[in-house]
Amino acid sequence: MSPAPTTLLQGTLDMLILKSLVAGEMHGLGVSRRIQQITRGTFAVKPGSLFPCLHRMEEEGWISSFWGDSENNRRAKYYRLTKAGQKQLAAETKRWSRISLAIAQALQAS
Amino acid sequence: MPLHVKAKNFLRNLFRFHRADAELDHEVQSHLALLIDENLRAGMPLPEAQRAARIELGGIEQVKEQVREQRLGNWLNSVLSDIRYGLRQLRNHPGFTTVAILTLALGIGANTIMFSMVYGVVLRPLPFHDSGRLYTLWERNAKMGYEQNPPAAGNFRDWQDHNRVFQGMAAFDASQTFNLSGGSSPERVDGTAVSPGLFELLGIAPVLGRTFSPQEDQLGQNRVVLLSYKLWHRRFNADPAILEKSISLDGANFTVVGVMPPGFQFPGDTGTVLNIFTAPPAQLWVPLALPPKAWAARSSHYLEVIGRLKPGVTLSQAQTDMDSIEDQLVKEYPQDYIGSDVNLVPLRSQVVGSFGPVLLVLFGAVAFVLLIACSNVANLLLARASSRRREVAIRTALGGTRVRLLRQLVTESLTLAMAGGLVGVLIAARGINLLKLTLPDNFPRAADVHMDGPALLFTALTSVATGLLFGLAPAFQGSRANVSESLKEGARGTEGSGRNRLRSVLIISEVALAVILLIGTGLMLRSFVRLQQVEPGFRPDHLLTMELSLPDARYPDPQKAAFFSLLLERIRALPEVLSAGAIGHLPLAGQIESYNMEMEGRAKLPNEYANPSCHIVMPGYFETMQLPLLDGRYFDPRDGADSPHVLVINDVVARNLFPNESALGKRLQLGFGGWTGDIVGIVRHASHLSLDNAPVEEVYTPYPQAPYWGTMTLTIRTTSAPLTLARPVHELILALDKDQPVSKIRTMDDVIGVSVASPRFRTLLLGLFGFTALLLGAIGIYGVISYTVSQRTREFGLRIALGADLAQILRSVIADGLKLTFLGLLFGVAGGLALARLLRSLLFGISAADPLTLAGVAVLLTLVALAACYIPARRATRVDPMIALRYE
Repeated sequence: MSPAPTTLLQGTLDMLILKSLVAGEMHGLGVSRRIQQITRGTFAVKPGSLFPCLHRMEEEGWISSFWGDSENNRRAKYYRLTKAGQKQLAAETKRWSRISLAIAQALQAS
Repeated sequence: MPLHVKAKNFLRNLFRFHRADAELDHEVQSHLALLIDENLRAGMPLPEAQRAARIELGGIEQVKEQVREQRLGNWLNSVLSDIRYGLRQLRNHPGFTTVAILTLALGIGANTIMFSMVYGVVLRPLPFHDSGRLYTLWERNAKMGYEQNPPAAGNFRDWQDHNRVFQGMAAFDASQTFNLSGGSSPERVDGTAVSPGLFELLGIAPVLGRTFSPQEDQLGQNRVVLLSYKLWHRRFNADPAILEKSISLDGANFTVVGVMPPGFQFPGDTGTVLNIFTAPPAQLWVPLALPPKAWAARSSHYLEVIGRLKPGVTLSQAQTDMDSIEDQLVKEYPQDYIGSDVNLVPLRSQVVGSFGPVLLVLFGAVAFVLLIACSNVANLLLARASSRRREVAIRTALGGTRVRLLRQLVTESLTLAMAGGLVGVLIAARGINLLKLTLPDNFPRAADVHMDGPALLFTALTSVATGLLFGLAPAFQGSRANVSESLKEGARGTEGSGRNRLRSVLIISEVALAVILLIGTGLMLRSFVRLQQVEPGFRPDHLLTMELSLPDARYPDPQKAAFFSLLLERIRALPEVLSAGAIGHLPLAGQIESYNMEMEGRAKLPNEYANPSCHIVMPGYFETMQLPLLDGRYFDPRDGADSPHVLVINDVVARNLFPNESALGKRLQLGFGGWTGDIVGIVRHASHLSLDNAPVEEVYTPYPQAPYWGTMTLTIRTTSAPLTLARPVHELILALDKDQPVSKIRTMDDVIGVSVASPRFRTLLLGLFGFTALLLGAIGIYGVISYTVSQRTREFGLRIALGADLAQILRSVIADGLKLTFLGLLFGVAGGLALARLLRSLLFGISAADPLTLAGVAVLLTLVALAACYIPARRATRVDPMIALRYE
């Protein structure tokens, strides 16, 4: 495991979940593992943060859900990105790039 | 997010909560299963895999609760479930619930009643157009100690002509009564004479016909009348053809020119009469139409004046303008009786009059009662909170956040407060009618006092505020839970010191509030007793009084005296009558008249100091009232119209005008038309205006020599119950004149009773509130002490088992209670002394820091606290050691 997981910035979790779902539909644990993977272990999302977030995003209409069978034949609730979710991800990405650029510049300033 | 998605989700969360929740449960369970699978794949043995999965998940119920909190409309759902839970809690503890709801209902109900009164009397706008710009105008003279003297007619005319600040100004004389005859039986009706423009100034138009024209204010053209809607209905069957018909008033014909709208009263119930007087509502209006002589008079004060400020003119601008006019008048007429400046009173304050401070004091008192009720219920909640510690701990362990718990506890308090408010409204609806029965006759706008929208709104807001007030502190205490401590097997509800301190603070403030209220009550009560003990200066028992008005048209002046002489002679002949007389304005019935006075042969007296109350009496009056004669003689039948004019003065006049010589034989000239007479007697002073007024100068003249009053009140001293004589006397009057109405048949005791109705009213109400406060305070002390005793059952059992002295246990429990009581008493007395100063204007014969009252309250409260502590203390000594030690 990589160094101690970092606390997530407010709103960043939404973006990471949306990003992880770009790869295709997956259940909660899948999303959690996918985030761990794409952030190289920097962020480990606990169910206590993940599920409230998933449900809220579903209510926002960014993702939709259905029940399906997992790889070893367990019933699990799957989530997939909606059109609105894709749009949201694009907007979030743009915003994030701007912020991170600005902060990087600020930190480099002498 | 599109609105329809949001709405769909909201509705799902609200109505398909259980399905959504079951699905959530499945999801979390499946997540757990997936985690276990993953761990198994990583090569963990099953128990290890399950344990690791649970740790990573972090508690199924917590996760579910966190998701629920995120949901749309979650708040509504959880509030509803909180209310359901709260109601269930309340149902499961009927004792607690009943006491709490009743306590709150008393507090909220009393506040609703007082708010209805304050709103109806003080806050509700007066029924006139833009009433905020209406003012009454009075002459004031600080040097002579009067605030509101009606201006003389001449002064009014100068105000009207020279002011630049009023859009309109009008005068009226509300003291008029008329014998209305013709048609059915003759009756006496109250009327008001008004100057032109009064109705326009108020912004009220007649429903029928027109108001008076300026020409009709001229003598000779003034035989026109406006009827009240009520009189028009009652006496004239709402005849639409009444206009231009003529009706007979005091034997003269008046043409009806209009009918005023229903509900219109002026002045009457609007109280715009000298602030302590209240005229009955006028039933008809006639033009003022004063004779030229009256307009020239500067010392005869009887007109009341109302004005409407021009838009944009401030009160201080108006004050400056009016004062400059008054200054001019004082310079121009140095010998006349004129106020030093003009007193402008907003019509609203005029209407509320002396009841304003009373209502505020009473409103403050019920607010105190509600605060006491709040701290009582807060204490009950605190006690319950400690028995609910385990429940709170379990909820915390299952993922209930502090905020969530706090919200649930506050929801419960609000539910309780709402229930209290509901019962309170029922109490108020009933109580307000009872209260109206106790209202004194001169209470302003009593008809406007009822429960309506504003009152209900007030109750709802008060209930919410109450719920927060008594619920917040216990909720903060209660939601603080140490999970592992509270859940330990056998942990007993030992008390945190914070909770105990809060409870003590509540009791101390409760006692302090009750003490403040009781001090107020005590002061009022003592004042009222003092007032009752005042000697009116005459003997009020066994006196029958009735009012009689002889119309000028039927009885020219000399015949009036003859009528009364004959009538009194016949009355005296009745069995059971000791003596009989008559007077213009009956003492303590609310009216006096005063005129200026000059001494013949001496320099003119400065008018400011010679303005005695003048009474016109029939011979026999002094004997009937048993007014003590100090020197000289009473009037007797020799003092007829043709004999030399005589008068009787009281001891105050004698002392002021003739400090070193006998007053007998001196001559005085009185303000009414230069009437001059010899002083033949000196009597003791008597109360005329009210019992609590200081003795004033009084001059009596015999009616046959000064028969200017049409209205006289008969005074008859009887040997039996006075009212049994009413009928025979009435028959004697009808035998003399069958068209002569008689009114206000009362005993003198009743007249005095009515004159103290307003102090009696405020004493009664404050007493009621004080008693409630005492009761609630006692319940509070009892509750806390008995709770402490039940908490310490084991300790007491142990002590008794070890042979402790029972008396000592009793003493220690009582001492605990008394300690709190004395602290409360201390704060209460300090607060009471500070607040009692606000009561000063309502007190009579005692100081605001009356030591007897303070001592009485302290003793009473200590006794009550002692009793409230004694019962639980006895219980402490009766603890059975065996049971106590086995307990829990």
